[in-house]
Amino acid sequence: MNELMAARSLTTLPVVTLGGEAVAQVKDTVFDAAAGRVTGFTLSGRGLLSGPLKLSLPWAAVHSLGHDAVMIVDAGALADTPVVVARREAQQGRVLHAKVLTDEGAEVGTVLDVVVEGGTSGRVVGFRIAAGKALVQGSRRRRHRVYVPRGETLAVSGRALVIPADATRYVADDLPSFAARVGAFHEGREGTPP
Amino acid sequence: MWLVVVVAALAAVTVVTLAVQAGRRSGTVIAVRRRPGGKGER
Repeated sequence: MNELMAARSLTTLPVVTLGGEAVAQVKDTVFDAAAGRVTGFTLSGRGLLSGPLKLSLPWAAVHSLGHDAVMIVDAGALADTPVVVARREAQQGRVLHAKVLTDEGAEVGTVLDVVVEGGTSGRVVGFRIAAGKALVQGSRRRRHRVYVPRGETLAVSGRALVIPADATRYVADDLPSFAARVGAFHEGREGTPP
Repeated sequence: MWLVVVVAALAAVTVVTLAVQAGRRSGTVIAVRRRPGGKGER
């Protein structure tokens, strides 16, 4: 598995051509909820006072998603923003702070971030959530932030995200251990629950 | 006195401009649903 990255950490990442020219920087990360893959990025300009660009970056044009930059072949790969995300979708599909429910109806927390796989796959492998009582026992003060696998039956909107109940048995406290949990979850749930 | 007013006004405009730009540049994560073969499909 390639390096895992939090989608919010991609914001302000430079978009660089293979020729070495930084043409923009990442603003929003857009992903297909059903397929569980990043479909593209909206962009903003590189200058201090530059705002959002009318062009966006479809995932098909991404050469590689790295820790320090999004690599593209050339600036001609950028497309009009509605190709990546329509305005209505952008307003209704915001997943940060959405409630996380299991398919058994338990509310386990709220979405803090989306975990994506770098490189060329763009897979969404899980979520970082503020864990609720159903996931972490104890007082509100002692509840913490954990990573949960995405699961294959994902449903997501701006209001709620639905994950399989058994995904909550594979939570991790940090990204390195989360990679192992995701592997166990997808390999027939063979990992040992914490 | 007028110099203080001008400097304060410029500072206020600068702060507001930078705040607006920071808001416009801040990102989020957006979930969409794509039909197979539709736009955005690889």
